[in-house]
Amino acid sequence: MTLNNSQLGFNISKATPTTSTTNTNTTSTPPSSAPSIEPSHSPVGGGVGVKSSFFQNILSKSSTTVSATTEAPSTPTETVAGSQGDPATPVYDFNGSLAKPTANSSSVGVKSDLIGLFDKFDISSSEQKQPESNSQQLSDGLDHAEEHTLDESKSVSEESKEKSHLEKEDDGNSTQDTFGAEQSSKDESQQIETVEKNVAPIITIPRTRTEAKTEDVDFELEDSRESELIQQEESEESGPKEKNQEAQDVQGLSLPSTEESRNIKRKDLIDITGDVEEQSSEVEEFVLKVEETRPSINRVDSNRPRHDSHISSKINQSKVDPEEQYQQSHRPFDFQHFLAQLRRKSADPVVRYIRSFLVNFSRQGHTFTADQRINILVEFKKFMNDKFTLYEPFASMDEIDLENSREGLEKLIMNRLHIHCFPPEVSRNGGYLPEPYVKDLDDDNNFATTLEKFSWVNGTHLDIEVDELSTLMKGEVSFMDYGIAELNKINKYRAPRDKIICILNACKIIFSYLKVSNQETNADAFIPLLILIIIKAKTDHLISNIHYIEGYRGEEWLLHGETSYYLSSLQAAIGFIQNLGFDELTITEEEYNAHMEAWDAEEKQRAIIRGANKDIRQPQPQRIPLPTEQSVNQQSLSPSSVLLSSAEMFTKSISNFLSPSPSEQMRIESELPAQLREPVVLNHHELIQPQTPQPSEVDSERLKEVYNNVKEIFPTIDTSILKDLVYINRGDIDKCIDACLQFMGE
Amino acid sequence: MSFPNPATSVKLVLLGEAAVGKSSLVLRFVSNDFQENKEPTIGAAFLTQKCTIGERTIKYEIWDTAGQERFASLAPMYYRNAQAAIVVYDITKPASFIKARHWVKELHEQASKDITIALVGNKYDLVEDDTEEESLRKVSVEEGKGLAEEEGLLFFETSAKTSYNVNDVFIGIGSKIPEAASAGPNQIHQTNNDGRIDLTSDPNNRPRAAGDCAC
Repeated sequence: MTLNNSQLGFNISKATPTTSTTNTNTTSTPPSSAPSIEPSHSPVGGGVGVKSSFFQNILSKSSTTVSATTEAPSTPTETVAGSQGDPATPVYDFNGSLAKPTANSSSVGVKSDLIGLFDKFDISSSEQKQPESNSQQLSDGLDHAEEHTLDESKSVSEESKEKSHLEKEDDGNSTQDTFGAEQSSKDESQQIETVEKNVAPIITIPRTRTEAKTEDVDFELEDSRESELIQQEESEESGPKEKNQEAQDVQGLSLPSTEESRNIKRKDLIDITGDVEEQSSEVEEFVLKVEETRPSINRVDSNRPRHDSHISSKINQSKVDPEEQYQQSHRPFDFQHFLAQLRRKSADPVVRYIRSFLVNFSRQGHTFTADQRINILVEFKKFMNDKFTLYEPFASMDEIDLENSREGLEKLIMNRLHIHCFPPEVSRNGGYLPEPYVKDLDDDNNFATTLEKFSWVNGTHLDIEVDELSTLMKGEVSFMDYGIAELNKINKYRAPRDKIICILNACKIIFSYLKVSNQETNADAFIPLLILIIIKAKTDHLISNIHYIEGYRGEEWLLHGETSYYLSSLQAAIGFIQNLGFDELTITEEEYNAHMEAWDAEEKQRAIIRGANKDIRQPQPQRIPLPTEQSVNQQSLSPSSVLLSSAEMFTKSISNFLSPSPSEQMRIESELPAQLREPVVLNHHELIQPQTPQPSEVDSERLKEVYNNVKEIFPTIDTSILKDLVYINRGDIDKCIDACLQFMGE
Repeated sequence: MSFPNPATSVKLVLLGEAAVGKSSLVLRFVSNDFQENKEPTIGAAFLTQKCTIGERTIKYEIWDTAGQERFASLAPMYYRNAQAAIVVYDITKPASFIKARHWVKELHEQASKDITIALVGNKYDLVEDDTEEESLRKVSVEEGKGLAEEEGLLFFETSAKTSYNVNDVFIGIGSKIPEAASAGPNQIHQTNNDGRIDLTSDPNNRPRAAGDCAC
């Protein structure tokens, strides 16, 4: 024991210096958050009993911290003596696993670090089993052994005592309103019992040991959270985030849902145990979904009034669907439940494994190759699976609850490690990009280009009745827009599971549409719609997202079931778009070629614009006052609209020369561009897209003015052709210029 | 696993030209069932169905594919790791039989080696009352059987409309799937199963299927 202790002390002191680099950040957090929290908590009047018992805990915790272990040894002394030798080992090892990687982190040897990381886990796992066999004393014994560690570590740094003291207060407080308030009374009493005996050391240990280490992570988290918050405020789109806020409000119970309180809440959570609590805010998102959606699910299932009755669509959307999905393909996943389980004292070793893993990965993650990152996570999940069999409440779980725990674990760690494993995120943070990540990002870019190139593709090209798709309403949004919105949410979530849900939601909307429009809900009908939605959604980083899901979603879920089917469908659809060509579309050769030539011209034009002739497009809006609104609009649109309009123009100009009745032509064409251009806003296109006025609305004065302008710019083009061009483009100066450029190119 | 008779999952992919009745076939199979064996799915493109064959309970995960020619290149995404496939054609449409032949060939070349394939000529109801002189049938039973024999497939003629022979397809596949195949991706090839065709499936003299399937 003495030997162990001395080693312990050594390890810890080894760990502390390494981590102390980040301590500057660290120390600032607790003081700043603590005062802000305290006032906010006093009104949280929860149950008095609960409160007082937690208060006791806090007291007992702090007392043990300050005056070493006065209380704990008194109760199960024999246990300590009996099991000391054995349980001391895991504790030591755990320290080792904590300390060594930290020490290693400075060294560059990726492989050895990687192996080391897991060796340590494995070693501790094998040794951990010894005490396990020892009996129920295990937990007590463990705790006491840990107490000793604690003492050692305590004596190592005075400073950390204070910190842990502070943090414990936070801990107690927030436990009170997050955990204490939500837990069932049974859990509470259980909790309290154990807490009174053992908590102090248990909670303290991770504190002192990981405190410094977790903190830098905490800061990252805080940042990301804050940016999320900004997003929340900025866009209504963020269904998930909305829920996040709500979740926190709920968590705070009596707290007003003001921005301030939310911030407090947030800090509060982060400060508690870093990783776990950070997740808990995320967690609630699901709980809330579960609670709020249950009623609506039935509604949806029974006679899908989702489409008929419009219930403030945005919020309804993502709440209904994920939950529906859970119920259907798995049982409902309850992340909060998992976190509650983690908070049990008996689960403390599990928490510490997770914490140390997260800390180590956050530190060393950037030195790993892409495959290593995936493998490490796979290995860690396996490792934790084994651990689940050792510690309550996981040890006595049935397969179903265990699956919930595995899901929870994956979500928990991936929420944290997303920034290290999702290429766009890594790139955004300026981190080192392993080769496959670079490729993913390239693929994303290429795919984005492909989507631009084919943004003119509409339902008819894939034999879809596209009119209904974009006119049939689900609430205030068309099915098309709805599906697009759902798919685009994929970038708002971090955990693979959540990203999958977004994909499933988009698919679900397609099926809703098929049902509502009385079509068969089979793959023949589904696939083309999925392809169309992908083309129109132009989701950022879709390929990175899919690779991320494939890499980090547990295989047990990835390779089976509905998820697997829809993920494969998405991949298949992406593959289809990547290889899209004339043969794959229902289109005349002329039209196709026109689009392609327009695309090429657009490419050329972009190159020109990038180069010397920037003035061709830019000065136009200034010189011509009339179509300003349109010009602005046009400018802000994606390049595809330029491409489209020129493509459109091209076909038109051809047909126009052939056809003697331009007015009829106009009538037909005027419907076309709306579909082509922005199906996203199809229902509102009159409002949002003033670019496609009816021919009758086109002011002849304006046409003349535009014509004169264009004539100035393109003096070489035959005036009659120019007239036609201006007329066809309904006086849209930008389109006319594009068309003329196109014409010149020929 | 605490269940005495755990359901083994079998990934089954549906291939065939558009409009030959792939999904109708499966919907018939799935909808003939009691509620308890059903798991709601978000669309008929993916369906599950449990089926008890003798001692085994098989949970089919049925993957529909888009039959349109333009989507033919997507099929590999669907049949990778599939333990079973149903290749469907329409007995009144010769072109669909040619397409079925292609699918079989492709499956043998690209899919898992021990995939169990059933060839199914659907729309039997259309030829049921045919007279000798005037028949809608364009693909004879012999042609179908011949292909199945050549390629070592199960063979059935079915009607999704009347549900004729539909369950037999799934029972037949379930009986033929090697025990180990359902264990997961690392399937052990069962060597003694050389997959001859199911002669009992002759539509002319086949008695109604044994009722040991829960479906």
